[in-house]
Amino acid sequence: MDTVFGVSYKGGVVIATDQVNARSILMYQQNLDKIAELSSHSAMGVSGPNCDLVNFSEYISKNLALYELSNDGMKLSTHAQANFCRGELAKALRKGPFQVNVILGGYDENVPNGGSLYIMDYLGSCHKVNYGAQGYASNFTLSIMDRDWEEGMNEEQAVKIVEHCIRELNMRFLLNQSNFIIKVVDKDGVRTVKADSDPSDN
Amino acid sequence: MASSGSGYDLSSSTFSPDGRIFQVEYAAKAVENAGTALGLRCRDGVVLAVEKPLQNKMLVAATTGRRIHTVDEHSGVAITGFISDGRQIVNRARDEAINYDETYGTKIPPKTLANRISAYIHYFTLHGALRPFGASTLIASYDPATQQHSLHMVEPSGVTYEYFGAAAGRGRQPARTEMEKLAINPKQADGGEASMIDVAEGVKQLAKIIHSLHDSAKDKPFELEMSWLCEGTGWKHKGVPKDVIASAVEWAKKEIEEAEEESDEEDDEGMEE
Repeated sequence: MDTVFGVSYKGGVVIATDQVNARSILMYQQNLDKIAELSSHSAMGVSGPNCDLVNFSEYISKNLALYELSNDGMKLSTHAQANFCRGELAKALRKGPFQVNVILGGYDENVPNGGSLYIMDYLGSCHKVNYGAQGYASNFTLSIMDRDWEEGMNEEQAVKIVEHCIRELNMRFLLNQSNFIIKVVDKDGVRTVKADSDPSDN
Repeated sequence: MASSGSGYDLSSSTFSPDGRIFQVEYAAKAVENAGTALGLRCRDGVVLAVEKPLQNKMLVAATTGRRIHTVDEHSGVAITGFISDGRQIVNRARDEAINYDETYGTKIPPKTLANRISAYIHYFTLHGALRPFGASTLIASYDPATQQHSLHMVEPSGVTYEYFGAAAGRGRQPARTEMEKLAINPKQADGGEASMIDVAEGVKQLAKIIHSLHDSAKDKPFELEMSWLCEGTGWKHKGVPKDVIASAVEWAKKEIEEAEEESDEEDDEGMEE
């Protein structure tokens, strides 16, 4: 039910998710941040039941922090982080699977175009993509991204695509996901571009 | 020589009153008595060389007792000391490298590999039931992410440093003196990085060092094993081809002869005065 999608551009990636936390007929909150910040230059949008979403995000981000602490500040590339994440999904699959689908994006200096985006599902598949979406949202957003995505786009254009997708979802998706959180990862790190608030926030 | 252990040297889990662990020092002795191993970090790659003494005349040389091993495509390791201990270290290094690749989908960075090997070797200096490794390990490695090549050495105590030139074994002291004369430290070389020697020159220089240290009267006949990891091999760890070693050795022997003749002439001149 969660909407998670991402777009890469020349110089970074944009990841967007909805902010709904609900079960049955009850809406717990409308301001859940489903994009976990993994390291200084990477983030992961996660979809799935709240328990696994939170558990898995924290497990991966803390393990990646541990790597940096244990290895004298050495940073893992986005590719390495994605492989690690996929490995954990695969290991858990035949024991106690994490029911999460993930879009992991990051910025590396020595990668052409800087940004790289990886799409992973709960079965442990992993693909490097220019853009991707998880869940029902993919039915609505992939065609937009297929049409609008171009090689060598800048951040503004990438965010425009994301906003286009959000408008489409608001119009055509059965479930009302009015609040979205959008994060950008580029050479300056991870920053939140837009996050909507819950009525209970004030 | 070294002071007597007198009771504090029976276990690697015992300190001496002056803060030494004798078992670890004795392990280092095992390395000091073994064939010389050298490593050189050149401008465009790393060269490893090991002197393999042929223990007795009945040995089928050229096939047995390999000292330099490939750990992963982009890393190689040279051992000296207890060769059987060295084999254990190589196996562990290979496990670490493969494990890292399977977890992170990337080749293990040189520093991480050196630290993993160092942690493994150090572990054996902590347990009373285990003995330290009697082997020093030289690690030549390349990091595809940063495009930097490097040379590390791990000693039996578990300490590891990165080196421009590293030496272990019998001839390490004179070898270090010789290596310091080579242009391998970009800070000391006049022209900076660009004037440093390349691997082709490195192979010749290491061959020369090993041959000049070898005393044919006292030491056993030996074989020279060399490997390199450089731009020329596509940053893969490979053995230096036999013909390249042969021509390096030929050059080395000539240089050594000429140097001896020069010093003989100087002696003569001195005597005339």
